[in-house]
Amino acid sequence: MISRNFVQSLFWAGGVALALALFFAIMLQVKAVNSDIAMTERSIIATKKQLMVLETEFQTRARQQQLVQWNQVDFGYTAPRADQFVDASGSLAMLGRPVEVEDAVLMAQADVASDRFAQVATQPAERPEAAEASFAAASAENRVRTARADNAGIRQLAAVIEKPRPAAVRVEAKPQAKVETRPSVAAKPKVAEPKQAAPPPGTRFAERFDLDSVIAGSEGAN
Amino acid sequence: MATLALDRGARAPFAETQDTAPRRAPNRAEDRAQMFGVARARVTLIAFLFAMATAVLVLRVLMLGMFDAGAVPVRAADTLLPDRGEITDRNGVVLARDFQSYALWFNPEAMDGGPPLARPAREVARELVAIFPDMNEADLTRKLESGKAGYLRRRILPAEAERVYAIGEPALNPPSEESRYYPEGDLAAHVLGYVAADGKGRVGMEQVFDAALTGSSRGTPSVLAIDARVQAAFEDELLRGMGLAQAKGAGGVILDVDTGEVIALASLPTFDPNRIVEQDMDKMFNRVTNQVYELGSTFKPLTVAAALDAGTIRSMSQEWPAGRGLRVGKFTIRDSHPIGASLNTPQALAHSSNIVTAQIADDLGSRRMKAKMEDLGFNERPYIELPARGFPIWRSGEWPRLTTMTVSYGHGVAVTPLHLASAYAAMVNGGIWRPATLRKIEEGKAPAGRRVFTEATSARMRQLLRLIVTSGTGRKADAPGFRLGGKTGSAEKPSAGGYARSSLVTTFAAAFPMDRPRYVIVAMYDEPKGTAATSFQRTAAWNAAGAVGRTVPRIGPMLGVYPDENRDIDMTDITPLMKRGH
Repeated sequence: MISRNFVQSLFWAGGVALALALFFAIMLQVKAVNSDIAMTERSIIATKKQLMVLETEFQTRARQQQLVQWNQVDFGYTAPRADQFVDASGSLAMLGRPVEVEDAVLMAQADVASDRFAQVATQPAERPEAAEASFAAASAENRVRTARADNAGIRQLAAVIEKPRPAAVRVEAKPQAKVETRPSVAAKPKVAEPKQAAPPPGTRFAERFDLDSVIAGSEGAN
Repeated sequence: MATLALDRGARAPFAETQDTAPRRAPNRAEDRAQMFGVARARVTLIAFLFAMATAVLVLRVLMLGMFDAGAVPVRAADTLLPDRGEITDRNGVVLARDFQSYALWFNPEAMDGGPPLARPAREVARELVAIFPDMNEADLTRKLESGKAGYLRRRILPAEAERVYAIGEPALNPPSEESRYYPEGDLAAHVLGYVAADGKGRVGMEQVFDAALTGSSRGTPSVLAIDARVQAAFEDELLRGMGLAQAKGAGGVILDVDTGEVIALASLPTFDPNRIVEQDMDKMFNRVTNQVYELGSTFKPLTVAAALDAGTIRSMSQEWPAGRGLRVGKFTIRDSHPIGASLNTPQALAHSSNIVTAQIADDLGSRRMKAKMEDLGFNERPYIELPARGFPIWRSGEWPRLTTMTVSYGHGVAVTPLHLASAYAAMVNGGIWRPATLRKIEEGKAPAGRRVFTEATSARMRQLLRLIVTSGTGRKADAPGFRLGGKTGSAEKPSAGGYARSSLVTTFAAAFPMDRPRYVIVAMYDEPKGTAATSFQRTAAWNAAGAVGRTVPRIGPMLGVYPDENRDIDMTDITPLMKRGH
């Protein structure tokens, strides 16, 4: 007959053994994580050392005197001149092109079937050509022309600057004075004009870019 | 031992049993019992040993798991702490750091008493030359054959070290060693200095920062006031000018006028701190902080400022005779060329008249002149951290009249270019003199300094210095849009028995932008010659002023000074004065 005390001590012994085993397992787990951290730390150190070596190598290869020598032989860059700096936001704004916008559109309605503007909008592939033609005509007249799609009830707002581009880093405020608005001129013939007025190849993008088509496109989407 | 004894004891009865089996049959059961007993004892013993071994192992595992410190994470900061701290420029560009590099070291003892090399020396030398084409094969062969340990090459690249390993000679085993490395080469060498074989810094800030660089704070870089980009541009232009003018040497310094920080300091010819050789030792001499020169006409603005401060120049239009030499005792003060019968102050400065400046100083008086020069620190070593600081040639006691007059145009007192730069900074920054420093100063922590000139004098001097560049001898320094103002100075070098007319020290001291001065720049050439590149002229206008004029557009934008041709200092009240008298 097994005594009650024996069972009790067996139970306690088992409990202690289980606790010890669990403690041991947890301890091993902690140690394993510590080892992982140590390994990671070592690899961080090794990587940092490698980084320092690489940084030093880059700096050595690209040291100031070396850069000066390369510049003398290959690039020939010189210090920037005074006219290459813009010192105020006003001067910065003058580098852009003024856009003449007419009255705000309060209500717009598109008549898809009837006007040339819809034609442009539904045939995106033709738009650049139309834009070029439009720009060429406008620049030939040396003024800003505002086009309006009349019979559709859409007021197309657009402006094309008349000034030839490359010369102007700082665009003077004068162009505005030359702006001439023609509120009700039908733009149809401009768009329909053939390609012969297109600028020659190699003309800069900024010159070929026509704000008309962009505004027309965005309004057409409405 | 116990096992052996037991074995012996156990084997004997077994042998006896076999031998005597037929004769002793009645005792068989007894024998068997005995054998069982012995076997059981053996098994028990072996089991006990195994149990002990297992217990030891388990205990060891437990102890390792519980108490072992081997897996304690190492702190990256401790491991990465260099033996000697880094030195960086004001923007954090590393100028000096400890670096693990390989050296090509010949170790003849590598094979433990055997021959130094496994193959003939000539063959090994040929393979080394294949890796380092600039090495001499015959020279290498001789070194390898000598059997003496030594460096074959101080620094080699890791890739080259691998190729040296691949040769397979144990004697050529490139050791990786910690060494001081200067990634920017000889840039700012006089500021940095170098680390000698004993591990101590020499010459420059390596010496000054020695304690900090090797102490407990070495993990934090020591930051200099130098800007590496500005330093490089300045050195480049000085070197170019030095070549064009065939000068013996050049020097220059750029100071922040409001804090006294040295943004660039160059002394040419320079040395490479990565490669210290015997013949470079004399190049370590610092012309900017250690060598004193009579800096000539660059003193004239200081004289005028002192006179303005004292009120002895009553008006800018006040005129002094300048038509003929000024006789003082046996000595006659002359101008380099006739300028006019009488000159006012702007004209005297723009055309650099010794005669008029001497008279201005004479009006000012010896005592006040000397006191002002002392206020500018001309009677003591320059204020800077560098160990090499030259003591000015300074006349103590009361100055005779002639000394006052010669000092007014930069003769009779010899100071370093750094003295001059600090004085010019005080002259243009509103009148506050501050010591120059190579340590970066945090914003708003500039030293209070001492007032030397009044604000009004400083404002007037800014106009006059700008005038010298727009209409006087400093035209070649007029970098468009940078509103630079400054003064040229060309002084003959003293030699045995007087001044050597053929050897000059030319200086240009300037500040920019004059409408709100930020930096002072001083460029100096030692014995420039008249060459085709300088139109056969030797004076400062043709070399030092040009160097400054080329440097400022390069460094201005880096320092936040942008050129603007629509802006300048207002000179409307003094410009008309330039038109008179000629």
